[in-house]
Amino acid sequence: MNKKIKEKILKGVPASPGIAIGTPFNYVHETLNVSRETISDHEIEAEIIKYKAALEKTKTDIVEDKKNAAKRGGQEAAKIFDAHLLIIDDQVLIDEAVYFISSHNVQASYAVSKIMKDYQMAFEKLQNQYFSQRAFDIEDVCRRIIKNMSSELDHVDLSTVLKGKQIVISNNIFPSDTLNFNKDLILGIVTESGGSTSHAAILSKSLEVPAVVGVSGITKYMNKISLMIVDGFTGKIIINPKPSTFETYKIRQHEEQKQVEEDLKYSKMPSVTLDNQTIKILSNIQSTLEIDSVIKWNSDGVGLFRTEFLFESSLSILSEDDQYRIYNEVSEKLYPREVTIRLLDIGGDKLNDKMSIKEDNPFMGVRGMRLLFDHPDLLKAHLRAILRASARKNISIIIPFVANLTEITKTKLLIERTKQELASEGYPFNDKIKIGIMIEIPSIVMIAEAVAEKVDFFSIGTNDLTQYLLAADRGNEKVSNIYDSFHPAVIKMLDITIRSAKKKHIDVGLCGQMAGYPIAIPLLIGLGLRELSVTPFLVPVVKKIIRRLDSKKCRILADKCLKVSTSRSVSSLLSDFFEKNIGENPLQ
Amino acid sequence: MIVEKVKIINSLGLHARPAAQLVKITTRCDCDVFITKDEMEVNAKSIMGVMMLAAEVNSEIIIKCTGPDEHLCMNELKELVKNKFYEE
Repeated sequence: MNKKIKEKILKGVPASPGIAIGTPFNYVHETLNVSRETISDHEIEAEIIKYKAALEKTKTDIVEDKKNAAKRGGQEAAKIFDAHLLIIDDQVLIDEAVYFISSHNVQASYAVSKIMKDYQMAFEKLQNQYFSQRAFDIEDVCRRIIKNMSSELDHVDLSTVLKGKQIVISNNIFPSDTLNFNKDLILGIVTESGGSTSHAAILSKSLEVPAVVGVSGITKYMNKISLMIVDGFTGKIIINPKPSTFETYKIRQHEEQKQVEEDLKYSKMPSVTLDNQTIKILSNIQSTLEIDSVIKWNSDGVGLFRTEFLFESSLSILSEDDQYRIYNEVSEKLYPREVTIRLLDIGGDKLNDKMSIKEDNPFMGVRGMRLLFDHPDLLKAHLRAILRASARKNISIIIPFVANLTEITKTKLLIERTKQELASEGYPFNDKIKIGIMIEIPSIVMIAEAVAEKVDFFSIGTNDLTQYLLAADRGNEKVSNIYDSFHPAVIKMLDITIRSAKKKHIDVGLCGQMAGYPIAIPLLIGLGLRELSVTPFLVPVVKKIIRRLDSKKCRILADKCLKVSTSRSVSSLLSDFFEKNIGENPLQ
Repeated sequence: MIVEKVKIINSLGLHARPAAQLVKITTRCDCDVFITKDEMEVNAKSIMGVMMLAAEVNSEIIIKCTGPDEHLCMNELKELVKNKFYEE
């Protein structure tokens, strides 16, 4: 039948870290191919009754899923099902199906699948990505209706069909599949489509199982795989590994598991240096699904809540109330930990078709506050929602992508006005909510002292700061040798920012990738940082390093780094220091 | 039958929620409502239809109401569009 193939490597987008080794489970949604069966005139009425009953049943199912999703994954997940309810209630769709059944003498499931396909095709043709993606929702809803009409139970319950723990391979994971997935059942997830912000990616991250998405061609190999490796760090999928590859990964997996156990131990210890300096280790999150990880890894709170993803993943633009529920959930579940919410930073690489404009150079175009100022209604709803969720006093706001003082004063003024509005409407909120800015455009560093008088804190975003300082697009492979966060100029920028903040007595933290890079941590502590924000699962790794550091020695290291003129010199200073003071690289 | 051209002014266009608001009005009214945009005509009582127009900000749509309460329906729809679907 299907001949097994030799070792083959496929590449996708890493969506959730970790290594999974196991057998594949086919969770591919088959193309709906309902055959057309002719029914006689006197059967029409019964067929319509059957169809309407299936509609009711599907509606109840969706309401139920929505409740479960709200319980499990938070408000965001529940929103997806709201849109599905709108679709199922569409009277024209219902009438169309009824008419099709009676005028063509066909069974209901065929009518539904035919209408579904017509709509899908029409939607897929649309230019605007937001609208074209709705094809996917129609398909999910129609599949459910058809399933509810068929006598055989073809709903796959993973807990009954898996042969032990397996790696789930799918063409795509639908929102209605979510509740079927459970960490105790699956080893990993691989999907044919989707990017790093797809439903599958977020789901796997929240389950903390390794996952790779967007692996084109994977479903074609389905029957040819006897064993596979999923590398959620690099996005590699290895089909039928050679014994040597298998051994290598087995060892890596074992080390990784040991690491996780050790990390958990570390997560219970305080984050202090050898000379008793307390360092706050916060988390960067983008979804309410990550709240549990923040708690599990004992992070001090959220240093950066990216709001872009909420808007990108949502089926529709979030209203003020929708947003309020999400921010309130984060504030409530993490209380008394602090939560820093970054205002919507769309544009640049996070192009959102819903509102962005085509630009030749989007990274230097209308993004962050520049875009929000152009959409006053959206900004107002956004600010109102955040302020309304601030009553517990554990929320603060970061203004993204600022290049000058005017943008800061303008945003602060809008926040003040929003406060007055909320006060007059009787909403409780934190009148003294802290407002900080992202340090990511070099111009703002050069006037950091003046800026520090206007804000409560700085948050340094090293990824963007590096790209704007070195004029090297961080996504462009051709200039990846130029893009280098260890460039002495970047280190000097950090130094100026931190000194200015200290001089003006405001807080300063760092939430870029640099904070999660082990050898850079001594430098950051040496430069004077006492707040680092990283991906939740990196919290214990950072803590482990911090507990072996002496801040005075780190200061000497930082001073040395500030005197050299090449990134190579910086790197070697950092490596030497790391080897001498920490020993092995905890990430290896 | 009355026909009017209106401009979508809410920044995000006719996405799911505004479409739902619009359909709420049309399904309540006792008249047929069709909307045309760039040669595509859809039944305005269907949320899927309305969304299929992919009407973005600044796009113009033509609303056509035919039936007993066509004037009432048209006024309500115009009011809704003018007020940015009451969501901004």
